[in-house]
Amino acid sequence: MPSFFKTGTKKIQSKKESSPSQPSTIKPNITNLTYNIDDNIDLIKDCLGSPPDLNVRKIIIDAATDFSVAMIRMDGMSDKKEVDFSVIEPLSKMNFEQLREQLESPNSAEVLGRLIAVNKLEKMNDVDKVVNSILQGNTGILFNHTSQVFIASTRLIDKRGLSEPSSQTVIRGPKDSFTEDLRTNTSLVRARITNPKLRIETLNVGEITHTNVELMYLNGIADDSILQELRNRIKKIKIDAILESSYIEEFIQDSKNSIFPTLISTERPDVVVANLLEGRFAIFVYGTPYVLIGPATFIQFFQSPEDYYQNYYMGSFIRILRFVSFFIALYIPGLYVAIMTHHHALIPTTLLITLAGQREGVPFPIVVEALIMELVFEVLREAGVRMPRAVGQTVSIVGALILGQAAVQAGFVSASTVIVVSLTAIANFTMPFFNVAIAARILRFLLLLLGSYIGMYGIMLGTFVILAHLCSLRSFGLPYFDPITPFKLLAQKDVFIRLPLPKQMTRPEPASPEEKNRVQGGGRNET
Amino acid sequence: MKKKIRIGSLQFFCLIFLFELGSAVLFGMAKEARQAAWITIIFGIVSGCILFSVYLGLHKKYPDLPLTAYSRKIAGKYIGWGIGFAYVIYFSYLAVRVLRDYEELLVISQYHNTSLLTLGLYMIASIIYVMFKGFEVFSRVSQVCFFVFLFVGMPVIILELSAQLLQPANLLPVLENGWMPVLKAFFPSTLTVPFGEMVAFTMLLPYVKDHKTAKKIGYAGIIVSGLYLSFRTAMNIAAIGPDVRIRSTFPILTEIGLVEIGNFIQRLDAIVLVILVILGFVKIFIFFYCALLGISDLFNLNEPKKMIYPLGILIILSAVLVAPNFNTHMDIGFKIVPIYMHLPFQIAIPVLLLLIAIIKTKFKKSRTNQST
Amino acid sequence: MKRKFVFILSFFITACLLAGCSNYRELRDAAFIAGIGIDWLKEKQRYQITFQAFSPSPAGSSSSSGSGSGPPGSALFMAEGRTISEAARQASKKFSRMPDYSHVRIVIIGDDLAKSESLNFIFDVFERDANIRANIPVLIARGTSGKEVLSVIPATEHPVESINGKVKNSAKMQGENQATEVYQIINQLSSKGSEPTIGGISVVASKDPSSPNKKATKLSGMGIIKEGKLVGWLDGTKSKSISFLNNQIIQTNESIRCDSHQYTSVRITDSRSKIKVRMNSGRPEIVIHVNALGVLDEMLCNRKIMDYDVLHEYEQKTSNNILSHIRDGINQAKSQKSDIFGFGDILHRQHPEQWKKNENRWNDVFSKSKVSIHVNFNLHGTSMRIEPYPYK
Repeated sequence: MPSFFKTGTKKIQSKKESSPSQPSTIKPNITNLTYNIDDNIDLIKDCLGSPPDLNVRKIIIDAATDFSVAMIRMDGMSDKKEVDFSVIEPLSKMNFEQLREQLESPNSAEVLGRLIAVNKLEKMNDVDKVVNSILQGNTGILFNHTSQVFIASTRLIDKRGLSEPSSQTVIRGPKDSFTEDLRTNTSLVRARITNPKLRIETLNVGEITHTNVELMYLNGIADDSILQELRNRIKKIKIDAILESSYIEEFIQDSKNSIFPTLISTERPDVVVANLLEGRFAIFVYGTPYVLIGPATFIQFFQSPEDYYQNYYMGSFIRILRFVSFFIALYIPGLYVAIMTHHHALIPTTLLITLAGQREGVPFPIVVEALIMELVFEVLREAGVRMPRAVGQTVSIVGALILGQAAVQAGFVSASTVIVVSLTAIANFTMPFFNVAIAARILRFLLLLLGSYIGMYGIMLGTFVILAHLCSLRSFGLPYFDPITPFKLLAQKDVFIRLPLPKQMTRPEPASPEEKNRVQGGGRNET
Repeated sequence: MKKKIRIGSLQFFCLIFLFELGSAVLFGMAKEARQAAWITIIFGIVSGCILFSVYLGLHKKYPDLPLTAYSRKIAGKYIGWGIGFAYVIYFSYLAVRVLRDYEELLVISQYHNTSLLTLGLYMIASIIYVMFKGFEVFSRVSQVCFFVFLFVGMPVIILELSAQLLQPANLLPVLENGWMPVLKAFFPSTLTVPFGEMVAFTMLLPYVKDHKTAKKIGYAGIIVSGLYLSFRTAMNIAAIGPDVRIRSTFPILTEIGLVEIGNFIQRLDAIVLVILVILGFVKIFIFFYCALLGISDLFNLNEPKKMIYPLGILIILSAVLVAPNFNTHMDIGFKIVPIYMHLPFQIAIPVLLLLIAIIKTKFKKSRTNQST
Repeated sequence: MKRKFVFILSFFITACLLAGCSNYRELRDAAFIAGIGIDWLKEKQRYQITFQAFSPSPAGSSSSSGSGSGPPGSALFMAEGRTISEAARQASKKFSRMPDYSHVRIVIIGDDLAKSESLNFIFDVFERDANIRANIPVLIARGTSGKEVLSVIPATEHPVESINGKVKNSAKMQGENQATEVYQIINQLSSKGSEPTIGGISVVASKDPSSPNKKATKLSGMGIIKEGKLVGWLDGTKSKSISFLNNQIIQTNESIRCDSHQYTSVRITDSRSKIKVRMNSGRPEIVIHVNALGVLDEMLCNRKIMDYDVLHEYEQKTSNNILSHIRDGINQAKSQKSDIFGFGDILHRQHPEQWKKNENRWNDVFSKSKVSIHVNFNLHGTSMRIEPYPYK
């Protein structure tokens, strides 16, 4: 299986080289760098298919000896100014005699490095590597009479500036969020942890895209076995392209068929920092502001960073509220239908009369009604996300006011169903991480059907199934329900309630056992 | 043998607690003892602990084996196999009985028009799902269920107190007819259900972390659940009186049905039903699983999970066929099963096995002593 | 994976074939019964059951966004049968919806049924059926039938809500009429040591012009039941004796004479009773201690209330009042030979061996009992004023 991809890429290359349509003077089967600069330029051009954004600048330094230099770079990916000032200018002024002598010596890169003022200069003579480097925005420097290519790092890609997080907002707390640029993202974390223990490892994933994936952790605090497992899993990924961190997530999560997320994805640097400090790892992927964090437990999806920024009474209250709203989002439609169709006795008499009054003349059975309303709501929500910002407001007004109000007034649906559905919808939005809310959104339908079919009994049995599924999940070996079951009394400090920070001086489960205490020796000596 | 499953002490406790409560809460214990039912249960705790010490004794000798395996080691290959097989049938039958109990509960209390088969199918389907996830997952689920039980059960008790339903006078006079009714209710019914049913844990003890935990938590589980049962029974008597208790099929539901606070909180039976379903789920699962373990052990199955479907379907069908109607079912359950099934399987066989095992080791020891 | 899929599919197919939905019932298909009246038709030897249902008024139509305002409508229908269940099934011919008994709030028993037929059996269905509750208050239609009582429709309330409200209100404010619930009646009917009392309700002419059928219901007295039959009524202040002895007094009011023709009112706010029963040479000896607490809430004469003597006199008079209520109540119960206070049960608890001897003829034994009552009343306040305003 793996070899298939490798041979595939090579085939493409050789095909291009052998294509007769290329107006080239060199023999088409040359695949290695030669001592002729023009051949080399053509070879690189061929490899890339002479795209319009490929910039080749050739300078003849000494016509007598046919000594020339060429700079090859991709427009838009590299820093033009830097190439002009740091590469072209010193090269055109240099003493070429001396340079020519030393070009073939093993330390030619160092000699050249004294002239060219870029922060990294490498020497290579493999055409694949050279092409890859150029594609990443570096500048390839070619000389005549040598097969060595010098790569100056001049990568510069336009990127957007930092903006406020769009999906995970807080009232009090940092307002910056990750961007699409990987280096910016890692710098946001580095700026917050100025400690040599912070380690970053680079991995390359994607047979075609060669996307940079970086793994970040705190050395010593993160458990080595988990990290090793993570590296193995990332290395095993076989995919052509990585466009978003979710691609990685789907490959490395423990249970591929689960509806519940087993890795956190966040766009907030403070969340990443907090999790790194708890011994978790973070995976940065080029091109997406969402960073993966693992191993994650179920409880973590209910922890908003703001819980820790607000007073801890408030933090605890809000957290309990969030659990309640998760329960509401998951169960209320099912319970509503179950009670309205199977357990009339449970409804207080006065409420029952009101409800019965509302149900008079409504054409649909209550299950159908609830299902329709849930689906309509999902449609509205999807429309709200996809709509251009400007008309988003209109959709919500049309959806909420006109549809809801009119449907009730026209007697299509009963008011109580509208209340239940909107309550569910609102409760769903309290989740700090929307991917756990997705689970609730889908499982809700299952419970609704069970409830309509066989009442509370069905809902209860559905709960067993969901619970068993949750209990069987693991995230990198860590049980998903970690501090609840298996139960750990000390870890309860940050589950349903948040104790004040001075009382939270131990790290939770995934941290390596030697580093259980957040601060050593009472918080004085740092090593 | 198989991949190692280890359950922690809290999970073990939750399992015992929910298991013990199972059908005991449902049918109300020691009804014949009238007001003194709670005293009968205290006796039950003591005898339950004694029985459990027998099971523990066997476990100590063979810490990694279930009952069906060490019965062969103790009683010889063929007799032991026979004993093991009898236990498999016993556990399956108990799973069937408990399932039927809960089916009847649901039909009588809420689902008047639903067939037993449907209710059983749903229950067993969810049990099968959990069983495929393994025992470890189940013990975690039961721990969460325990929390749910506390979370729902405690408010119900508080509501009952605030509805001023309890009349402590109902508990008087204590022991009006002497100790005889208490003892009669104790033996064999209270002794065997639920305390003797701990025999199922002889199959599960190998999963517990170590012998010390099994001992400590086992006793704690029996005592705590027994005390809870005793307390709950006393509450039940105080709320509805011993006469109604004897008459009613499900005293707990009768009791809860009386709760009414300010016209708003009323008819909590459906909520209590949720708790009861939890208890039934745990109990059926454990018996089902014990039967499965027994089968896979006796027939040396590599893939014990393959037996889940056939066994599950067997249980669903036999639950419907086991008795023509509820009264017969109850009659069998209270008159025949305790004497002809519970007593031998819960007491006689384990005690005999333990005795033989002790004699055997003594014998062996003296022989080795002689030879050296 | 394939097997899993097959399993899930087969599960859903079986589940659907087994018709689990059969218990499914929409709200709009059910009629919620609020009150049940049970009468005995002597000539037909059948029970006549009157159902008073909540009839939901259709909401959601155009303007009525605030549905639920105004009283829910009522729908009355009747049926006959040899058992209550049979009658309930018969009623389906007269009503378009399936009756749902889970919200029954009151049971009214006809006078004839209570007097001539035994009450012993009719409550079985309330215990046996899981849907209907056992804590429903029961009333006896005094001098009329359950049907009559339930067909009285008040102007502003649902008839059943109205009756229920009266029972609760009276129990709270006066302590003369207590709601006896089905399960309590069953307990008392089956116990040898006590007999039930059931509140009475009668139909009177209404002077309220807004009342639709010029009739109103009014609570009156507590019916004494003996061996399942209504044998008499405890009326007026006598019926307070039950509340006093059962510690059910929440508030009541005693008027005591302070002048030649004027009275002073005392509000009793708390009362605790202790009862001791024992057999003494074949006769039960009943000792009752009542401790009551109250405030003075109206004074229609000029007396120096600050004076200890006056205060003491009032306390004494109130005590005597309470004592006479209790004594009268017990005396009537003794003359009817019905132990409505449950002294037998108390004897059972306190002296089980003495109870065993008299168990089977307790009502006769009770009628010969010797009762001593001690009431201790404490006045603990005079509300917002100390002395009454002086008048000439």
